[in-house]
Amino acid sequence: MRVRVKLFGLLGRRFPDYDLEKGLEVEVPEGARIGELLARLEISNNEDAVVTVNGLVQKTDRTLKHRDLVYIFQSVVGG
Amino acid sequence: MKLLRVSMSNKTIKVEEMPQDYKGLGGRGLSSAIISKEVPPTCDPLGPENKLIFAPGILTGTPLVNTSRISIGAKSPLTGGIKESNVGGTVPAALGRMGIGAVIVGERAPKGERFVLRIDEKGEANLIPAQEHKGMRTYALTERLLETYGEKNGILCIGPAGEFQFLAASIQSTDVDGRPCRAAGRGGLGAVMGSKGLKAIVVDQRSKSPDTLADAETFTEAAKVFAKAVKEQPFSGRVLGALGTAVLVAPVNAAGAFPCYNATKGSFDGWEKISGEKLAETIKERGGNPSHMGCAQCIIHCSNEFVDKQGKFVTSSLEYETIWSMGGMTGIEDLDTIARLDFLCDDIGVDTMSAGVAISVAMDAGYKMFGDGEAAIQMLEEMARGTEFGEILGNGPVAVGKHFKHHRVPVVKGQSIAAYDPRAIQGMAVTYATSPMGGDHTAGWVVGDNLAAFGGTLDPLSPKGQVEASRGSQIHTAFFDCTGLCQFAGGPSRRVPEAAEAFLRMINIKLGMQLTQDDLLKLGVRVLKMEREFNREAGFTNKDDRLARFFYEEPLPPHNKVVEVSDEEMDHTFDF
Repeated sequence: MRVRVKLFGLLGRRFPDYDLEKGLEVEVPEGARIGELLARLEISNNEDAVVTVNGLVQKTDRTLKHRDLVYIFQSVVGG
Repeated sequence: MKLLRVSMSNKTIKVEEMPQDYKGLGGRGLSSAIISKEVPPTCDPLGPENKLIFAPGILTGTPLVNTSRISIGAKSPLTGGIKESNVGGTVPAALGRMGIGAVIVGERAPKGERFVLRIDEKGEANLIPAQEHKGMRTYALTERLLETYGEKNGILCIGPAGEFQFLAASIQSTDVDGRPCRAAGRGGLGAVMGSKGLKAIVVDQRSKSPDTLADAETFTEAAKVFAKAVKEQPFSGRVLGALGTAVLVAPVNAAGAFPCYNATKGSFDGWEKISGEKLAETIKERGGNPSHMGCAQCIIHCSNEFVDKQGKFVTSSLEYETIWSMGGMTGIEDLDTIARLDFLCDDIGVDTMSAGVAISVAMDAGYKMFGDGEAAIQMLEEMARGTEFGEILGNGPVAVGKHFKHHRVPVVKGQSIAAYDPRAIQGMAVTYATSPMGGDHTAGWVVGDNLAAFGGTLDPLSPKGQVEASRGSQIHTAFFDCTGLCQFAGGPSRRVPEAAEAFLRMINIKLGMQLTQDDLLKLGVRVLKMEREFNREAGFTNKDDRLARFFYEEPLPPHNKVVEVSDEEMDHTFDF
């Protein structure tokens, strides 16, 4: 199945030609969890990424569905 | 260190050694101490008894990076309480290098007269009649002043809004390129400057420090350790430089904490069009600079230069708070229009936050539709012309609410809140409500404690632990604002042990004292107590430590929460 992923902070810059408006189409196995998607994108756990699926903040063990819209925000620390 | 006392009625300037009472202070601590001691709390903020203080931080003017910051203070005409508004640029470092602890502007010039305060490279100050600059907007004014006094000068100035003494008027500060685009926006200090008849302060940047550091070598070593830590922290070292403060648009919207359409929704429909990522991409595509150095000695470069489709300069720097006030709050989802509004505010000399919220209250009251960019531009132009409606707008959200008899006015103590809704981040409710400054996000930023995106541990929708978080942050900030270090460079002073130690060492070398980390927090408490005491004597009670009523009554989508921190809990914020 496929999910659409949008990346924020500097995460998008890790992917050549990343398009801010379109995001990425990512192929994941049926029933994959958010954690597996992050691993596929090489976003490690210690980056404190925040993930929303279809507009709601979710934990990494949440199962994904075909055509989910996944936003990944990079950890930023207040100054 | 010395004080420069400027009498606007006698046109005299006296230089005096820093009095014992003020020793060991700088920045906000010094400006608040001077106001507490020398300004009658019940005075008219726009009358001769008020004083306008310009106090560089303790470390400002030293070789430490990111220390060109100045605290501008007075009794605020907007809140009626004590005020410190902090700004960068080039003037702060220049004053610091001259060994000037504060410039204190007292009394006022005869009505209609205007002056420029010129401080040359030797630190000698003169008041120069400046009738020819009457009504000038800040970009034209600073261009003229730099022609007259030379490019190696920094400027603090007011525009027409300050001359009209509008309550939301700012004091603009020139950046490293000589543009008046950094702002001491909050609290209407531009109106105080206007009331004194002071149009600008022009400071030569070629000054050398007359106060040599007792142990310059150790200081330089410590400064290197600190700068390295600033560079190595991901946020200050990479993210802010690449995307600017606007990087916050995405996570705060995702958290449902971005007050928009005059604080009736917590997530902006078009936020992806005004995000930091979109902003940086747009600037880059057009040949502008998304990673611009705004202030002297800055190594973070959170500033940017926004250009139009033809690559022509529009404004610098487009910031998170302005994108919120002029975008989210007004429903305008077009970066070009927001950039134009930002430029106009700087040029007219008005706070982008108070002005944007004033416009959004007018739109909410039905004056114009949300999202009408042309109407927003016209409203700012009315301010510049000083029309009757322009004056109402220029006096900020409360004046607009009264004019339209509209109840939804997102303020505390007369000053608008910032780009974090207190219903979706309950800790910000505490800071807005209880800060002596009125609605002010910089007085105790607890967003990081609340959002997982920032490694937060509190539930943003619950009042639990929020009073303690805000108290801790307000104490830390009150001390930190004394140092002159930029808040964006402050991370290592808390998170990196060797940087924290280096920071303390530099403060001690500069002050010639032996303070501990604990003493620094005691200084924060002392500053807050002085400020609270001034406000109490000015007539404030705990009833003023509340948010606008609607925050307690109107739930904010998408979480549909109201402020749940009780009045009793609020009143425990300053249990010290």
